[in-house]
Amino acid sequence: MTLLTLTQITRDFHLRGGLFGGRRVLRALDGIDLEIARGETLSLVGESGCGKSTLGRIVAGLQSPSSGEILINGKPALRGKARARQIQIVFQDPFGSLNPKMSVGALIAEPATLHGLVSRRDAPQRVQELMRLVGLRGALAERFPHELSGGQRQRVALARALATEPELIVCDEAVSALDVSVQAQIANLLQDIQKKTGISLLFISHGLSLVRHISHRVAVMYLGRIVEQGEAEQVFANPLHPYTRALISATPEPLPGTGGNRLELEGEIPSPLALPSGCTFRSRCPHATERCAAAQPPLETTGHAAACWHVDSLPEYAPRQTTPPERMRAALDLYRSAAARRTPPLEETIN
Amino acid sequence: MKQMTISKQAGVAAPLFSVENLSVSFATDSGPLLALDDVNLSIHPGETLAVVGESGSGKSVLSLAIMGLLPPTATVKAGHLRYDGRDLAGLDKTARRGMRGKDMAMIFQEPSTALNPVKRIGDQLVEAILLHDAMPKAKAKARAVEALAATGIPSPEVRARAFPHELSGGMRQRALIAMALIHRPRLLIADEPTTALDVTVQAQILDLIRDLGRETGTATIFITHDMGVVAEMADRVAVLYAGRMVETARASDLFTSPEHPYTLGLLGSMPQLNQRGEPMLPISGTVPDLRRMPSGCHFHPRCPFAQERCAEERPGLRALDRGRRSACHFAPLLETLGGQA
Repeated sequence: MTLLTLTQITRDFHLRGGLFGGRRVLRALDGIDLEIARGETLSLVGESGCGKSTLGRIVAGLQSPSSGEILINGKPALRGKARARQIQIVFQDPFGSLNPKMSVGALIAEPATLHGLVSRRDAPQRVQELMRLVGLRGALAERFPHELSGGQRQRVALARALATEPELIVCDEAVSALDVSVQAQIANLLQDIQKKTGISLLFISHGLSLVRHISHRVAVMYLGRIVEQGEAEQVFANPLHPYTRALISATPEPLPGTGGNRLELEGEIPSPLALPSGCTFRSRCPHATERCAAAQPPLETTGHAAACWHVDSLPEYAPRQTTPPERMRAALDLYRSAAARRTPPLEETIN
Repeated sequence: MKQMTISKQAGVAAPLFSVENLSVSFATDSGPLLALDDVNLSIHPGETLAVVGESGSGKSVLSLAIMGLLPPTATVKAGHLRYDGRDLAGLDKTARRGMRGKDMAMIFQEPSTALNPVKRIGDQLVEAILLHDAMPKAKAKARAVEALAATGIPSPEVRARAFPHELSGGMRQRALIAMALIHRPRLLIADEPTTALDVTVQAQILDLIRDLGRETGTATIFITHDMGVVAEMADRVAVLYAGRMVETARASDLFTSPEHPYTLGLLGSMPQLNQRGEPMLPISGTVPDLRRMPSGCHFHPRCPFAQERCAEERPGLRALDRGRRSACHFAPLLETLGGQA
């Protein structure tokens, strides 16, 4: 069942062009169509400036689109507090989003009481439930944000988001600043919570590895447009758009002998104030032709599709070798089974 | 151009740089804190050594110690740094400053804070040039533009006149690399130089560091927590955990057969090495507080293989085959523990 439907979302920012420059318009999002189903994890990937965070903020109701339609459960999206009840957002830096003067307990209780979901009297019990859900020891309720590790702070931010019992959480680079082992912990937690509550996730990330692991569907963005979307498995197994291929190729793999022979992408992302005509990726695309400059390629919104004029004539995709060596796999299996045998689980004995 | 001085001893080239039994502690309000505990490493000309670790592992303290930039609160409790046969412990501040930028240079994670925001890129490069080489300013300017061009910055004459904020993150990192390499240092320390960059830009910068290293024979110490970057860049790897070296190996060996449980945990935290949709294999718990270190093996409270012995007895960095070393009582892991699974 569809939870969220975005139709032709556009967002312009009006800039003053210097002392005598007059006004200029920066189009951060250009005609975005997107759907998120209940219980689904959809990832938005792309590099800085592609508009993925702006889109996340629009979904969460923190910004309004310049044009376009947002439906939640088939009805026009509500605004303000009512939207916050349905859709929550978790940011990259939990230190910046948690009030340093409030205890963890007060921080987690706040959204629940603000939305009238629990009475003040029942709040402590609800706080304990939420802390258990995000894997925090109950005693930490008395602590303050600066006393917590980065991973613990992000768990608090997640507990706050869950406090309103939302239908969708936007995770805007929510794990990017954490150590790799903590990223894995939080990613496991997100999947676990999704299984327990059936919540939908809009996962925004510039890194592809984690996206591949946790997403059901993926949308790849470049300069304010979606250039490829589809089931995560299909997109990663057979990327259709040259940009998606370059992103996958640029991602370092933790395997021996993977250095070198990448699909190099020339240059940098153009200024959104001086976009190339037609397909905006053509200035960096090794396959670009005159046709690409003439008109913008359309994107099918169903199934696995890419916005590329040459999608049928691109060279066949050669996937990179991704199987770990036998001994490494055996050692990882050994670690995994030893970790599973520990009672009580290691995680709880420490946090 | 400097001459490579590789002294041969019994057929083995001497390392360009080595860290021997280095221990560094910090004075804090709640007592001393041992940030590095008996760390050893060495690096040869042209080699890339990756130092891997998460927050609190001591990897940044290590790089500052190598550069001679430790803050006054830090004390070097023991150990030696040896550069090209010279013991750096005997050198005063002025001599160390004379080496920085010339013999050894560093690239930081965040290029925008490492550059002066109110000075043009070219002027900052000229300043760096004149610090160690006396020459007419016009010549230094030309050399600055050449250095920018060598890092692949398009229209370097124009960029030289730009201020740091006028450049993208990737361009700023290129400018910083140009500055670090301007005197052709023989030792380069790259402290998470691509963590703040997009993946396609990261790929470009990694290639650049590798190519420039190959051209100049520079030895590079690459500090990172990303095992993917390690696999791409490193010839050898040293894994740090809570101030101690827990595993060292050639990169090809480390990724074929990791021999410390912490290394396994780091690899298990990489989504690529897990089945899609299955829970990942993270390291449980958090890095210990350096003021309250666990007894025995620092990793034992988080280790799935831990036994009583691990809480009591500190494992030394033991030699295994193929020049690998692991600080785990149970290494080689598969042979010792494989029967239990």
